[in-house]
Amino acid sequence: MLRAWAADLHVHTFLSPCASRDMSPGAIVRRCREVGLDIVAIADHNTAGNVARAMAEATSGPTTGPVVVPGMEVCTSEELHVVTLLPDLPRAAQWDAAVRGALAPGENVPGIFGEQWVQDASTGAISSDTGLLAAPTRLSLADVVSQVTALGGACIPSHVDRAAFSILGQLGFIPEGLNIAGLEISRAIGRKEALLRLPQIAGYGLISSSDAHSLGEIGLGCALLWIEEPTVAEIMLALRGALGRRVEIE
Amino acid sequence: MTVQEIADALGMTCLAGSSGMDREVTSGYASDLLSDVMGHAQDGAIWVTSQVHQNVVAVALLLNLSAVVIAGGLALMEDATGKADARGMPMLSTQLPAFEAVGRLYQLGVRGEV
Repeated sequence: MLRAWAADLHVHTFLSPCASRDMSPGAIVRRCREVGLDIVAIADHNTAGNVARAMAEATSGPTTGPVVVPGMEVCTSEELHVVTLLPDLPRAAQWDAAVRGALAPGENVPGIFGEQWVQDASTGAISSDTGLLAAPTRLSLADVVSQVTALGGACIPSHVDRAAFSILGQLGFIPEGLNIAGLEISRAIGRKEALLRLPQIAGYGLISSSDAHSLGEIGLGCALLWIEEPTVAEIMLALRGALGRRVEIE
Repeated sequence: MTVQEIADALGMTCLAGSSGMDREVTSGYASDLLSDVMGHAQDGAIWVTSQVHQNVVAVALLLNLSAVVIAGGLALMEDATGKADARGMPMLSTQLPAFEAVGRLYQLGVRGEV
């Protein structure tokens, strides 16, 4: 049966170098409960390393939820950001390995980019990821879309209303025939204003997400998803407005 | 030539990172792709770009560039200003478009590494 799920499909953990130190998977899960989110997608820059821990945090203990959707915000070779959502943990791990192999060479410099904390799913032990996650990958937008699609996932170009690292900022247009699930607008802008300012986005399913880098931002951008179950396949249907599924945003 | 001397000669204003204005400029580079700059710009280069986000500052610091020139009169994003100030990476502003800005730098004697 269709019902409304409150979703924030773009949240960073403390594995993203630009995110705040308090963004542990456990703290994010607790904050989602406080603000009433049913679904959260963990989308760190170029890694899915903290997805498993977030899922463990959301499914253990006396209180469960929200549903954690495995995700990653990839920086393509065109230097635009795409939120990718994967159907399950094994496929998120596959995607993670593919992106890891396409990271820019070199190591993170925490003093310049920020710390990158990864948390072990079962023990909770925290260690440092030394990859250069802040830099663009060698994967083109077309590479990302084809690989994620092959894994049964969804591609949603990030914050299309912003100049920095967005598909419209970098390319100036949305390539025709690009197999994306929809477009994300930032929490700085509403649906109507976005459509007025960016006529190119008409016809695409739009979602609003927080792109939270600190706990207080979680849920500040969100959407109501009218879907049957909290899966990536259902989210894709909702973005297309198919089979009665739909996305409600402000 | 120092960043300050270049800024004075070309009428560029410093948007942030003014404590680094005495850095020595040893070459020049122009690009709007971070990956391209990371792969090719030399230590001490002055970088001309139209990108204004904080990763511009981070890449300039990572490569130990001498300064960044934001072309076309664009404003710097707030988080970039903070990072540049904290680390003394001069972020210069010019109203000139990128092509003209590079030309003026070249006239002053700044060269790319080829």
